[in-house]
Amino acid sequence: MTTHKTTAPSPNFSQPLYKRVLNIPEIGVLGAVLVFFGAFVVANNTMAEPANLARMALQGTFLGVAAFGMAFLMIAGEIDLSSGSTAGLSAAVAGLLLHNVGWPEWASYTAALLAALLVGLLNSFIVLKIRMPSFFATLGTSFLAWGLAIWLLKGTWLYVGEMIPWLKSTLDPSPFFGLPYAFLTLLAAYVIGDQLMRRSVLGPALVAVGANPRAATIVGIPVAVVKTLCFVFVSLCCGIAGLLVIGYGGTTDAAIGEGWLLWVIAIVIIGGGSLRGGVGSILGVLLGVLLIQIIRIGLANAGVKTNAQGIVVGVILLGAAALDVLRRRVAQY
Amino acid sequence: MATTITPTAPQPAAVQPILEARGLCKAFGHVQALNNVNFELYRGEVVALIGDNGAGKSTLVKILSGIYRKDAGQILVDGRPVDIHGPKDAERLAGISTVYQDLALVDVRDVGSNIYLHMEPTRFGFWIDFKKLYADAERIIRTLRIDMPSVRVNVGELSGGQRQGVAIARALARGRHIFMLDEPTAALGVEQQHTVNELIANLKAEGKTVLVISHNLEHVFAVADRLIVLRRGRRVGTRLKTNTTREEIVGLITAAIQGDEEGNT
Ligand SMILES: Nc1ncnc2c1ncn2[C@@H]1O[C@H](COP(=O)(O)OP(=O)(O)OP(=O)(O)O)[C@@H](O)[C@H]1O
Ligand SMILES: [Mg+2]
Repeated sequence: MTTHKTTAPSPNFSQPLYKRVLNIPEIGVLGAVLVFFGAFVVANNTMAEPANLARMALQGTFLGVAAFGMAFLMIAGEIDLSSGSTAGLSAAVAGLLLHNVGWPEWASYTAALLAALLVGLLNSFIVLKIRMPSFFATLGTSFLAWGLAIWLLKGTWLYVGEMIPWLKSTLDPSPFFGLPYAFLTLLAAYVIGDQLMRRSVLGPALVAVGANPRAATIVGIPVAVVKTLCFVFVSLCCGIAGLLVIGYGGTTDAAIGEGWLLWVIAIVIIGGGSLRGGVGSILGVLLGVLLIQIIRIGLANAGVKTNAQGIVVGVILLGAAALDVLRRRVAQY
Repeated sequence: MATTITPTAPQPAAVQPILEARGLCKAFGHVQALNNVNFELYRGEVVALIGDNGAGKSTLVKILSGIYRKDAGQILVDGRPVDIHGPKDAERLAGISTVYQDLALVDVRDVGSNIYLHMEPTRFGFWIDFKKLYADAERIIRTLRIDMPSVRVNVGELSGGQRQGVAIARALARGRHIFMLDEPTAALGVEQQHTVNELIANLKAEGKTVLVISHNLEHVFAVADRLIVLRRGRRVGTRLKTNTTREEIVGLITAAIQGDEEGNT
């Protein structure tokens, strides 16, 4: 969001406790999660009920999967504006194969994810070989994928609810607090991703690619390969997210990922990412997913209409950015 | 400062250069950036490459470090011809590590992480051993006697001289023995320049070989054993620091003095 942020904060034990706490990059979003959750619990006693928590987790899974991929790509200094369309394309391909061609689940999903993968490869090709900024390249492929999905489905939607028992089962409540299996899997992915970024050799390499590609090149990090993997990964994540939405609703249409993009980027930035790359925290992005879900569901439970939610989220985003600036100033001086 | 560095004796002809170039040519369109340039570097010496703007200094360094491809000529390492196709080759075949003016540091990471970027000490080849990383970084910083509050401060918060130190430490950590510094003091204040001079002296004390490009004659005379002067793509003079004066060097740079190797290099 602003000037210098650290990805891996180095504990400096000579500092007073409050500064050390303020120096934790995720502290702001963690605070926001607690404050908003607390406020909604006080305002509306259904908020903390297990059924409500499970619903939040279920609906948060879709954006959470997409944001997971986007977090890595944005740390690598690129962005993918085609994420929503890729989700739609993947859903369209799966729906068509299930419904019109009669393919089994596994084959349909494999094909759908291959379509998503192709979008990722195309994105990385345009960005890395043709050297177009990812902002423009992925804007273009976004329309391409969207148009392709509409063309495939001929503008209609398909009901596939009876053909997808396995996909539906991934969203079933688990014995663990009734949280959906897909959400628990996502949670595990976030924890693993966070550990990889913090403790493995992949973290510094990815940060270097985003913060200073020249430095990365000089020390022998294959910048283009890393970025290609990130582009493909975010596309696959979006493809999976698109499939999960089919599992949730039982229907598929090209508009499945519409409106996701801003949410996904907002989540990554709230979680500590930056449009300039080189910074970000996977744990922070998970907290960002939770925060957005708490706010959306909390507002919905409180009777705020969907179109008014945008205003509230916008105010919160700006407030969070301002607080983050303040936090780093206090921590520095 | 100059007194702390002992000048090496003139190199006997029998000593083999660790790095040598013969008849290097490089043109950019109509500009002949390098015109049949010979070049040699002996183990353990500090050579200053000097010349006016556009003389071809950076081009020479970039060819040796694999950034540019030469049009003609030969590069030899320990007397053996090598093909350098990229920075990797320069590091692997010749042990060359180049510190460019922009230093290429990752400002959002700390000193230790920058020094060991992409060669972090690990457990099982994958999980970074942070304890060892910081301890090793500490040791390298001490070897180079870089004045640094801690190896855990972010590089973005350091001064120019300290940043130069981190870039050199990173090269040293990679076990290279030839260091090429392109104008390491250009953007620095007097105090910081002094720091870099000491860094170079410390590299030399570690037995490393250093090639430094500089416009600053005070700096050159403080650190170098030998001076090589380029003028408009040609090598026009080579002097031991002990056998020359600032006036002669300025004359060679500006062509007030006829170049002695013109045409025959
Ligand atoms: N990439 C390039 N493309 C075109 N011309 C170049 C390129 N690099 C260098 N040159 C030209 O080659 C000549 C030598 O340039 P070089 O950068 O080697 O000079 P230099 O001695 O390092 O000068 P300075 O002291 O200004 O850094 C100059 O005329 C320059 O304009
Ligand atoms: Mg130059």
